[in-house]
Amino acid sequence: MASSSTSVVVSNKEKENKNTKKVTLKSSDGESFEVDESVAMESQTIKHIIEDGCANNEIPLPNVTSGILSRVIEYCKKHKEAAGESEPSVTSYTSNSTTNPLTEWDTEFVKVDQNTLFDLILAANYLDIKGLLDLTCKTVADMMKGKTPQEIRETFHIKNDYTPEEEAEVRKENQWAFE
Amino acid sequence: MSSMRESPILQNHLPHDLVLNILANLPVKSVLRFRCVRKSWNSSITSPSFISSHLKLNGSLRLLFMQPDWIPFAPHRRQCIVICEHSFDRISKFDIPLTFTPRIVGSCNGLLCLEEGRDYVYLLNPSIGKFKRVSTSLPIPSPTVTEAATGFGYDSETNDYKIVRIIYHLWSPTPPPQAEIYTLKSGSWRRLHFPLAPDFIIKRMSSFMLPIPFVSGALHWMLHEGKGEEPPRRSFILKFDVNEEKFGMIATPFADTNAHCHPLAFKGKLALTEFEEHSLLNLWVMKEYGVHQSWTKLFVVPLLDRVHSRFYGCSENGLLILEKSNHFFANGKMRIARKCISIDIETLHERGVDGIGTQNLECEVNFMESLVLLDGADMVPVRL
Repeated sequence: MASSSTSVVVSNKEKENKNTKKVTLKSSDGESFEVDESVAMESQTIKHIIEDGCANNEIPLPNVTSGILSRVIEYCKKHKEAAGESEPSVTSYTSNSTTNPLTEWDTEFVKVDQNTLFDLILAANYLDIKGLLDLTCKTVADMMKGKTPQEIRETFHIKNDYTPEEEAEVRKENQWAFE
Repeated sequence: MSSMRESPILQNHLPHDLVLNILANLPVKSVLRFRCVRKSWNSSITSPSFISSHLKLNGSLRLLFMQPDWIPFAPHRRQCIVICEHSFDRISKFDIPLTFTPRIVGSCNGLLCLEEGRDYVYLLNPSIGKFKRVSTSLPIPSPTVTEAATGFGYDSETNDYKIVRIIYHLWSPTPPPQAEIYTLKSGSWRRLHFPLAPDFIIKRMSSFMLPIPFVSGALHWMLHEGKGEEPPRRSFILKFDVNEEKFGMIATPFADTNAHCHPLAFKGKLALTEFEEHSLLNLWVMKEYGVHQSWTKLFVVPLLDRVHSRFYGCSENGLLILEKSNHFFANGKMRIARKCISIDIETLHERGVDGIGTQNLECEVNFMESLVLLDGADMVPVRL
């Protein structure tokens, strides 16, 4: 995933062959990643930087470490490929909601430890990649479903700011949700 | 478990708005439980913006069935069973916590609108266990010949829920039909202009037990016009645009004043069932709302007379819900076993809806779980 030590300068001139246009992304820990511009533009944040003409050398991403960035790039590549291959969906009265052909791949993609998952959420938010944000949020939600409030506090490192009486009252109001 | 981070920004700590993004994906029961986690979560969860974003993500389609509870000395009691529209797995079961025989007027964003006779209307969100009683205001001068037609819908522009009632008289044009509207935000009723010709006599509006469909932002009743004992002269769909608060008319695609047609919602479009001689169910779909030429007979479903004995409705995705009667001889007598079935309108595949039982099913509506009205005032908490 890591590029060679020399970074590639992106030309701002219009090129006919968009397939070879590349950008370099630099992680917070100094690693450079060269990717196709079209893949990088899955991120709305990067898309705006490029469109504003500010992507002369590398695009620094101080909020994303190399480990996370490489995963994000993997996600964007895969989804960009799939978007290129699939036919436009035909509206049909008889089909239900469109199914995502990458569902299995996505499921495997998010099988990571909790820290990585949270970092992916933060990265997807910072880079504004809707699909990745939705996927990671939904994954965390699925993990949370059966848990108790105390378990949730531990997961998110949250302090309980209710007094015991206050908490008992809120709990009582929603008693049946605890059964 | 936590690894070293070089950047101090990337801690294992998600900002509040991302936490809300996550919470919006959770089912209602989990969300309610997590109100206890901390105060800021509680106030966010009960905010209108969270309730709306949760609704957008959580609209899994359900089917809700209402049937008598068969509790001794309480013949009015009804229970509801909610199943997944796709798998038919049971999601929940609850009793309707009211002291009368309810009729389901409509179901919208997880809210059920129930009515008791002509005097009271109730809004109930069974997923959060809250309900609200709304008393109606139009006077009923002659209870024996007065009918009420009620509809329940959602105004997307103002994020408001509205109940519309039309009071009409069966045998004479006077007093003329009257209409009123209740909006949840205002908490009160208001008269509406009911724009039909003065000599108009409403023979019948819609049909018993079938909820009024809310589709394309409007409510739709089947209206049959005619005199006294004669059969209806004319039938058409009376529509009410919930955003604009205006009545209108939609002509049916067939010329016959067919007494057995019901408007309903099919995949987000206005549709009409037409029963032909007890043996065919045609589903007409108005492909372009408001455009008469766009009425298309999309599906024809063969039915067996006396076997498919009752029609309950059609789910959003095209599952017809019917009662099937099986006549058989036992111990020298003719007996009937009834069960609830679904027929996929596209494939004609029939499936038994198990768990609904052979009790007298009264009503079936589309449903979803939501937090709507969690932030509502004057809501009565109820244990379901």
